[in-house]
Amino acid sequence: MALLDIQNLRIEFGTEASPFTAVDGLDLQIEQGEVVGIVGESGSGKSVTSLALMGLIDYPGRVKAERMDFDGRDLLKMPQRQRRGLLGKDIAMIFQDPMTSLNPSFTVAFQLMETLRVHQGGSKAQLRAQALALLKQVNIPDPQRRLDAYPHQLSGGMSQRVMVAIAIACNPRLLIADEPTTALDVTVQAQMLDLLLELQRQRGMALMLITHDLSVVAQTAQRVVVMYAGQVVETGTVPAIFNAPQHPYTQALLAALPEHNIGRARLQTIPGMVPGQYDRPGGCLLSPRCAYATALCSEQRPIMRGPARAQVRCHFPLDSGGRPTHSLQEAGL
Amino acid sequence: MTDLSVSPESMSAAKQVLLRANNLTKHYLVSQGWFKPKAVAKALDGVSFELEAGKTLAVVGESGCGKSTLARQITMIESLSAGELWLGDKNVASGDAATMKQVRPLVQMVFQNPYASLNPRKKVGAMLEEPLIINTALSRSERGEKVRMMMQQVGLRPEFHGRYPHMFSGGQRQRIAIARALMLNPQVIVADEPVSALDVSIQAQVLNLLMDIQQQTKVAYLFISHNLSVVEHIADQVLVMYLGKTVEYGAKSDIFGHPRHPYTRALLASTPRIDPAARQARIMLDGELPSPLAPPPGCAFNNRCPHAVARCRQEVPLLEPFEGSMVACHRVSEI
Repeated sequence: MALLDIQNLRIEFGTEASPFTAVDGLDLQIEQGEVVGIVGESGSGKSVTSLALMGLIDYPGRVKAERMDFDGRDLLKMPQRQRRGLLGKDIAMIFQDPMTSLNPSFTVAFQLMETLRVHQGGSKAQLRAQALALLKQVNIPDPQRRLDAYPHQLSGGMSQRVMVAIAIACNPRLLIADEPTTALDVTVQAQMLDLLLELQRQRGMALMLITHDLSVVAQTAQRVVVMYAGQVVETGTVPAIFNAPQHPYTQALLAALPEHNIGRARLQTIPGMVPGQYDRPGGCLLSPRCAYATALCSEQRPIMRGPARAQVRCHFPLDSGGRPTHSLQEAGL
Repeated sequence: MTDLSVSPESMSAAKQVLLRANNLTKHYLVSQGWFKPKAVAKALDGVSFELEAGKTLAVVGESGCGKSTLARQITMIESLSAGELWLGDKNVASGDAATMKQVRPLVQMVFQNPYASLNPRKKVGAMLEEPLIINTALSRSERGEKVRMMMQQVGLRPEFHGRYPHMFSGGQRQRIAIARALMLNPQVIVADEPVSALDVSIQAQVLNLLMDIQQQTKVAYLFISHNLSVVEHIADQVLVMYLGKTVEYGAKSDIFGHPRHPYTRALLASTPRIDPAARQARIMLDGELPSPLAPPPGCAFNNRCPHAVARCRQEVPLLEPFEGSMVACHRVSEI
C-alpha cells in the first residue's frame, strides 16, 4: 500500500458559480522511502497541491478529493484534531523562502523545541538536548551557539538548514519540500540537496520534491510527475522522462533548457503562455501551444493513459524517438 | 561553433571597446552601533574588465560577492570609491555634470524582477516615452512612432501601448523592461539576473530576444547571473567574482572548458545537470561566503578551498595571466 494515495484531487478558488480550478483531477501515489519530483511552471498547481496536503488552504479555497489517504487513513475525513497530530509529525514540510518561514521574534532553540513539545513532550533540558542534536544532524557549524541565535543572525543557507531540522524533528514519514533550494546559491543548493537525500536515506522517509528546476529533479528524484495548468500531464521514472518524454509539453520544456541547446544560437521555445483563469482552452490544455496539435486535441480533453507508473495525458503520445504518433495512426487507418 | 561566433576577419577588423573598467572599488561604511567606529565593507575591491561592442560579458558568483554592486557602479547610480570607469574616451569617475549627462544614456539597465521594476500606475507607452522626453528633443508624434517601433522590436503588439503592467505576463513585462532600456539606443546594457524570475519556456524566449537585439544593434551586455547554464549559452566572456574580487576572467570556452580557479571549478561542479554524463564529481564547498566585513586573511577563498596551503592564508593572490585566462590563485600551476 502506498504511503500517500491521492485520487482525483480538485482545488478550487473563487465563487461556486465561476470557480477557478487550480488543481484539476490530480492522482498521486508515493511509496514509503521514495523520492518523487513534481515539476511544472508557475501556475501549474504544484505548490497548491502541497498546501492542500498540509491542510493550509483556507476558505474560500475548496479542497475536494475522492481519496487523500496517508498510511491508509483519509486526511480529509479524519477529525481536525487527529489531522493536526499528523501534520508536523508524520508529514512535514519545508517552504521555499527560509528567510520568511522562520519567526523573527523567537530563537532557533524555541522554534525547534516548540515542534518537539507539541508532538512528543518532555522536560525543557531534554528538548534542548534534542534540538542541539538536530542542529548537528543538519551540519550547522557551531550548533551550541546557534541555538540561541535569532533568524536574522543566520544566513540563507543556515536558515534553510534550521527549517530542515524543524521538519525532521519528529521523524516524519513524508517530507514535502516546496522549492527548497530556489532561494539559495548553487554551492549551497548542492549542499542542501545532498543533506536532504542523506536524511531521506538514513530515515527511510518519503520525499516529495516540488521544483521548477528540471535539472534538480534529474539529479535527485527517482520518479517524476510533470504538471501543466493544474493537471498531471506525465509520470514516469527519471530516465524515462528525461530520455524519452511521451508528452509534447515535457519534450518542449526539456528542449527549452540552455543545457540542451549547446552550440545553437537560439534556444527552442514554447510559444504562448500557460492559460489563466479566463482562457482555459476547451480540449487539451496544451493544444494552443502544442506543435503537434490536431483538431481532436482542441475538441476533446485527453485522459491519463498507460501503465500505472508511466502515464501520459495526450491523444497522440510521442514514441521513443520523440516523434508524434498520429501520423502512424493515420497510416494504420 | 555557434552561429554567433565572429569570423577571424571581422574580429581583427573591429575590436571596439565601449567600456573599460579599471580597478573599480566600492567600499561601504557600515554602522556597528552607537559610539563604535564604522566598519568598512569592501563590496567591490579592484575589478577590471573591458566590454566590446556586440559582446556579452557574464559576471557570476554567489550572492554577496559584489555582482550587484558592480552593476550599480557601471550604471553610475553610485560613485566609485576608487578606480576608473572609461566610456569611450570619457572617464566617468572624474566626470563633471555635463559629461555625466552625456554618458548616462549610454548605459541602461534591465532588472531582475519585472513585477517590481515597472511602475504599476504608468501605462506602457508612457513608460517607454519618458526617457525620450527627458533626453531628446523629439516631438510628441515622433516619440509615439519610436515607442511603437520599439514595442514591435521586442515582440509586443504596438496596440498595447495604453495598457498597464498588471495586464501583462512575466515574460511580456520583461520585454517591456528591455524595450525601456533600449529607448535611448544605449551602447551597454547591464542585465542583473534578467531571466531568473521567469519560467523555463519564457526564459528561452527572453534570452532569444536579448541575442536578436544584440545582433541588430551591436549593444554590449554585462550579464549578471548565478545560473551557469544560462551564462554558458549567452556569454562571450566570463568574470567570476568572490567577495568583491575577480578570481577568474577569460573567454567562455576557457572558463567552461578548463576552469583554473578552484572556486570556478566548485561552481561548475555544483551546477545541477540533466545529463548524467555531464555531471562532474562534486567538489563540496563547506560553509558559505564569509562576511565582507571580516574577510579571511590572504586569499579570501582559503577557508573553503580544498587546495589551500599556508601561503594562501597569508598572501593575497594577484590576478595574473595563465594560459589565456586571468586567474587569481597561488597554486594555479599545480592544481
